[in-house]
Amino acid sequence: METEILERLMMAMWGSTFLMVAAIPLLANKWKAWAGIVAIIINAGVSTAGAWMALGGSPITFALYGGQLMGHITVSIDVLTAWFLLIINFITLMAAWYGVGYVKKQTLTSAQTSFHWILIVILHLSMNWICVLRHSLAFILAWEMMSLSSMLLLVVHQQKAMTIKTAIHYLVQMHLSGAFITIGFIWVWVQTGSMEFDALANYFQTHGNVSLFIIMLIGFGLKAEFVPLHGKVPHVYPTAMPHVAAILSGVMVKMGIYGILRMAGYLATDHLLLGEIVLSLSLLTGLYGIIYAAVHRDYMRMLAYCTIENVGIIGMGIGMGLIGQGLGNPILYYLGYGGALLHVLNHSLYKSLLFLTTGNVSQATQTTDMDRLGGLMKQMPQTGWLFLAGALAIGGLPPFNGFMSEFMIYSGLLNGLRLDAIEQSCLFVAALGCLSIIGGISVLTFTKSFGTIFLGQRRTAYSEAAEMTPGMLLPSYLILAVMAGIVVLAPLCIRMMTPAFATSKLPSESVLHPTVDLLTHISTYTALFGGIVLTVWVVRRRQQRHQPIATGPTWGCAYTVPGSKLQYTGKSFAKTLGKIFNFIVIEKKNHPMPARATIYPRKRKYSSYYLDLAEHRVLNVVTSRLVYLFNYLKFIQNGHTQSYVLYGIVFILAIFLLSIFNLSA
Amino acid sequence: MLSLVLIFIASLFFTGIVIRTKSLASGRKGPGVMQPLYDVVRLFRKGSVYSPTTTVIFQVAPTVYFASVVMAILLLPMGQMPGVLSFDGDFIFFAYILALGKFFNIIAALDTGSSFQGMGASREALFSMFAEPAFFILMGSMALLTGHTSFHDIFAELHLGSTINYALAGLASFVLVMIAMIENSRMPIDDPKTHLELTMVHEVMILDNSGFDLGLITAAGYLKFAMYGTLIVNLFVGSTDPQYAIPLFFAIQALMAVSVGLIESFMARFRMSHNAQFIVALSSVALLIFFGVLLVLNKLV
Repeated sequence: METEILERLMMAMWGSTFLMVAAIPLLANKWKAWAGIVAIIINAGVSTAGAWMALGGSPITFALYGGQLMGHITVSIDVLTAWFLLIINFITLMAAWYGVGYVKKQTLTSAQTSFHWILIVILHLSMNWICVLRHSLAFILAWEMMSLSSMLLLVVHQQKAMTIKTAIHYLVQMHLSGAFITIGFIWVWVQTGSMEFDALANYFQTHGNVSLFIIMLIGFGLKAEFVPLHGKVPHVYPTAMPHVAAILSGVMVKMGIYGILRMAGYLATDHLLLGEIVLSLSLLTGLYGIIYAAVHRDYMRMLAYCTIENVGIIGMGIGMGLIGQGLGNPILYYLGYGGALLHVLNHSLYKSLLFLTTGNVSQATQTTDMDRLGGLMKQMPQTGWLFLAGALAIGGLPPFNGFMSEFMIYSGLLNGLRLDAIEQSCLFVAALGCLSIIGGISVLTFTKSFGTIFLGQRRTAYSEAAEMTPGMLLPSYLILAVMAGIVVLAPLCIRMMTPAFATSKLPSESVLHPTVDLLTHISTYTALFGGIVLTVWVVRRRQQRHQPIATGPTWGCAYTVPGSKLQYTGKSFAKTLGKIFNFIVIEKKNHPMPARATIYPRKRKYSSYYLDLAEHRVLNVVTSRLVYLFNYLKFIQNGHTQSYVLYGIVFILAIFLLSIFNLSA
Repeated sequence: MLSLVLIFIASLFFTGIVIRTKSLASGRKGPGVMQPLYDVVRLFRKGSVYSPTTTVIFQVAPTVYFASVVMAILLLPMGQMPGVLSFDGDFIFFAYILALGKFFNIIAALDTGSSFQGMGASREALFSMFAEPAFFILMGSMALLTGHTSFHDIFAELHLGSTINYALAGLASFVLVMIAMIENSRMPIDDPKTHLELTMVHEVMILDNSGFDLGLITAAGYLKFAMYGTLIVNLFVGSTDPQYAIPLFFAIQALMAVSVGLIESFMARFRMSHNAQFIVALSSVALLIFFGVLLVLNKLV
């Protein structure tokens, strides 16, 4: 009964969304944003209701009629879908809310504003669809909608050549991802004759698992930004508006993760091998992402690479889960998948929080180069504290939610050490080392970012930066509240999401109970830590009340005219790290030497920047070779109308001849 | 609980012994063993000076740093007695809570806007980052050896029976001593007595702290030393009865303090650029322990 109501509601809402979308251009500029928000709220409301029912133990399934081509399309909300739906809805809503204030301050034309809001609504809807649809053709359509709407969101607000170029790179990559997924689905369709997702399960039971899963892994991995599939995506975020970047990095990247998890759920054999592949790939991804995040001085790019790092951590969980499934080891299985899903939630929260707060900074200062900033804590204290909270959480440090999921993954890794085979022990010890290095470098990355942007003195002159309006800060506070909620309610989260991957083959209770107990303990202990901090702080306040508190300049080490330009920059903070990892990060410098025999050399410029290894040593080399190769085919597209007519004639002739000789199979 | 009390007692004289050893080694009489304690008490009763560049972060940081060390100490066991808090995977919490303290210490240094402090902060972040995998691989190997994942269970189950186990314990104490040196910013990674800001790591970070805050940081340093000493003690006294374990605890702590003093008297600090290599080498030693454990468990051959 409830399912039926929900089914009707969903259909009605999808219909009305299109009406809203059509109405947005007609509204006054002021109302466009709110119309978009209302559309998102309506959609989110209905799918959240469905998700809630699914999490409560009653999954929803119904079929739509998709015309002759598609036949019946199964729409289903199970626990895995529900988990992702909740994340999508919450983050998109918060980001869009922030966007209302942000877009208002941009100088956009009426058409641009309309497009912006329409695209956000469509992006949200398409992500919802990706999670609920269980029909490959419909899924690919939704995937395409997501790729196109997100790409257009990147260019709608500015038409700089550079932005458009990056957006096109992004589009190509998204289509490559789409192409791999399509190949996978066509493969299944050819073998089983069905476009339903259930056909995948049939396929995996009767055919080899490895090759199809690898194809899907590449397809979804391109979206999820696994290294070396991340391509040029890190360049995309600095061009996007911050709330769009929050949606892209916080939610859309997770669609790739969703796809991998969905496919992994259908696997029948070869879990072990595939798990080892996913785990190794994730180690590389995590380490690569965080090293680049540490060296970049553009804070949007830093966050972009940090997304890659977190995808690596999530991937470690998935790989571990697969290995656990392959070996019939429930501890690895539940800790791996549970950690991965919890980290998906955590990462979406703190990454969007970080993007929204850095959005405040970029709006106030008009620069994304952290080495031009400094001292913003005094002018934007609320933004500063929010960023600090996000930074601590993303580093996986205890009082915040990031620690919970990382702790689960660590516990899994420790159990993995005990596996019988020596190569698995070695893989897990490598993972343990990598995860701890990742933790260490992320401390370096975020002390650097927070310190350079918010602390110290202002480095270069920019117009007076002011704190954002409460309306724009509120979404960030709400995200922070949810993050704090997770610290307390992590055990509940685990219980809620476990049915997403629980199988009867592996008993869950023996693992679940200790884990839930452990996480409850940890949240109590973090409270205890808070208590210790508070006690010391109170003692300190009491002591200082009776003592003289003076103000004096920072100790300049006997140098009497220190200036703000003498401060340590973000670049130099991470310089040593970049040098140590110089086999991974490529540093390029631009510094023309002065001509010989010039007594008074002219003013020169020095610049140095980091290049992406995978992009410059692999991707660019391959593409330039391809372009070179395709030059030889240029004669086909020569611009002469006569040749094109000739091609048509040849084609018709070929069809004619083939049908005469009955050659077309 | 026992460990908490013992660590607090050990921290009172640990640094004093180090300083005394250094004085004697250089032919001076040196201050009394309790002098560092008096210094801290004095700091706790002083007023403070704050730079106008700093924000409230600078004032909060020493508190968080101190609290993080206290929290970490609560997790440590002593022989048969578990720590105040003990749960599976507590050493992960231990490492991360210390990282939190370090995080605040680093941003406090950046808050002063001084280039020297930024430099120290950068080095501290880098060195402790490289020390992290060594600690995790070491603890992971011991977890593998004993089949437990909490400090107390690991150390209580650790029986030093065979020769190879002694070799492993030797390597493990080497790694732990070195991690202690890195985390406490002592020789050969960092020279606490250097007079030039450019060559400092930890000392330059706290140049701007004064009064109560400096007292907190110094006290946290003392506690940290005793804390790592306790880890090493635990390696050896896991299954010993308390009446022998407690004297052994003080003996090993004192031994460690003396050897720190001797190292600082007769060694020069490494070149800054060699520090990273040295610390990475620690991870390899930790890996060696891991393979040793595999050997013990008959997995390797």
